[in-house]
Amino acid sequence: MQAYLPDVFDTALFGLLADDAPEAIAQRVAADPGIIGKTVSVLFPVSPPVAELAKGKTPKVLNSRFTPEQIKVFDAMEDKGLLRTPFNWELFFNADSRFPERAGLAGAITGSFYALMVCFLLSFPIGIAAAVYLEEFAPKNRFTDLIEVNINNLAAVPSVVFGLLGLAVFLGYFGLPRSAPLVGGMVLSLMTLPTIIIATRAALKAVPPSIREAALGVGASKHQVMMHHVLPLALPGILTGTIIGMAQALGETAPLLLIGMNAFIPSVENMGLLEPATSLPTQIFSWADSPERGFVSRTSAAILVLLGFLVVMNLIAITLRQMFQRKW
Amino acid sequence: MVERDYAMEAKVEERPAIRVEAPAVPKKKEGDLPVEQNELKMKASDVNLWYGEKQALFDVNLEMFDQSVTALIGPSGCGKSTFLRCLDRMNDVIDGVRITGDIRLDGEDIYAPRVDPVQLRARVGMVFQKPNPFPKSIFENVAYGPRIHGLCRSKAEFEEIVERSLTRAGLWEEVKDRLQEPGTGLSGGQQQRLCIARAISVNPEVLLMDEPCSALDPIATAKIETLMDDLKKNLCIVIVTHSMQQAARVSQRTAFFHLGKLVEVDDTTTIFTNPTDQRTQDYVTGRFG
Repeated sequence: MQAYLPDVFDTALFGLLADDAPEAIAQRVAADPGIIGKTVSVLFPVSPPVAELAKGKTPKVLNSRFTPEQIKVFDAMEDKGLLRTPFNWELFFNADSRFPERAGLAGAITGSFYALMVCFLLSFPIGIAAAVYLEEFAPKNRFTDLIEVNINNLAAVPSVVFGLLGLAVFLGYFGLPRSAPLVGGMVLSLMTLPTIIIATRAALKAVPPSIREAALGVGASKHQVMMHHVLPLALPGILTGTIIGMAQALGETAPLLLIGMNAFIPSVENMGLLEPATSLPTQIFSWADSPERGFVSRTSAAILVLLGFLVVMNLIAITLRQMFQRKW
Repeated sequence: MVERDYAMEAKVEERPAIRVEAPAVPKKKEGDLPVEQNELKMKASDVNLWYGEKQALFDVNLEMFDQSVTALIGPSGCGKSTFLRCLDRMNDVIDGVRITGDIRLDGEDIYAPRVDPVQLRARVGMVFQKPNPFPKSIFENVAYGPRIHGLCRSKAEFEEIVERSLTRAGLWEEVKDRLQEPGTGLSGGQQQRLCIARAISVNPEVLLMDEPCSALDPIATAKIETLMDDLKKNLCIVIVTHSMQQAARVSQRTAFFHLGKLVEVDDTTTIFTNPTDQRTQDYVTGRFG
């Protein structure tokens, strides 16, 4: 770089680059000592103020962040076409960082994935079992009526309440580790369960009674009717409801904040079910909260990523529904 | 359900009485024994049934004989379908149904505590009003009963039982090349015969048919009636029908229900030509109902 721009000071130069540029060079050299003494071109992220400048978001004149030399260097770099604005793939492959130019979503995506896994593994079987019991086997009395009303109400309870419940019960009473995806998934499954139960019951109700009668008529037991005929026919509806519930859980922030699932995770290596983690929505929350300007664009990008996941999940739900739609 | 049917009945009664020719009753063939000499298969004594508070059946007494067709006729809402569903305990699955009385299959009380309704339904098959094949392949539809009852082991056995059942139901020639296609893709009449094949695949002793032809065209109806003639050679068939012509064509004995009571039961010929009760007379001649 100095070869390109001989008339600048080192300090002015490094002020323009990201803070970890020297480290990155050192790593590069350590990995391949052969490059010492040669001229190699390396692409560095610029520091956030420079990025603002390059995008034309801050004025060049009377900008107190830069010395006049730095502005000169910047202009020279721009003239020689040394500044590029490529897509920063580190957004997906890096974990969180204090430096916005290095911060990525890998940790958040991993944490969300673990939490959703736990949520799915808990709420899918329990939800279906509860719905099947309530719909097909439970006696109709005041007690089951009460349960039904409660489930319908639970679906409308604000998520922050579930978060507090998780905090009190899972962390406080059972002493599970704080910030862990396991607890996050458990709290999310509390929220998803009513959705899945309601969707499953609707799907079971939609199976025509003639199918049940037909199966009973050839001598199938109630369980066989359920397992062989009603559940397979209701499965598309159940899956749709489940995916929509999962999508809801993916975007849920408040309960995860309450159980502390917004930890600062600089590396994905040590992530596990019981290790502290963060998730997509809480990452957005943290970034939106940070004072550095560079995190503004990071936050927007993270929101787009989250919305992208939601759209994909809903598309899967719609596709599943259409694929398995049957006529009778 | 019962209330809706009563409403339908009321509407029908407003119609001016139309004189209809009594359906032609086939003459008894020489050498035909009276059905009463066949073995008594099912016997219902003093059956009362309530849907919640509402009584739908009043002291029904009926005998059904082996190797014959018993037709249950009567206006809508008279309880004939309800009675039919008592015979294989299909009413068990409806909430709030209470049944008293005694129904015996081969002398054995089917409502006894030790009787498993699931096993009973393997002995007493049922065909419903609307064709209701499973949304699976034709083969699976027929093979399902034998599979859950463990009647077959090998694939060859399944194929044999499927072919035999479909042949008995008169459907084999039409579907033998497309057994893997969905049963729901067949025409209405074929679907109903598929349901019959499914019902007879587990070798039931009694076959209950709840208006099996009401959703079918005359040609499909004729096919199913021929089929019933064949099937009754080794089955006891009980059929609910709204068509008196059909009752006259296919049945040996006919029972006339009215408002939950069994009004009259006798040889089909007698019911249609020389009924004892005025209400039966009015119904079979089309004066009401």
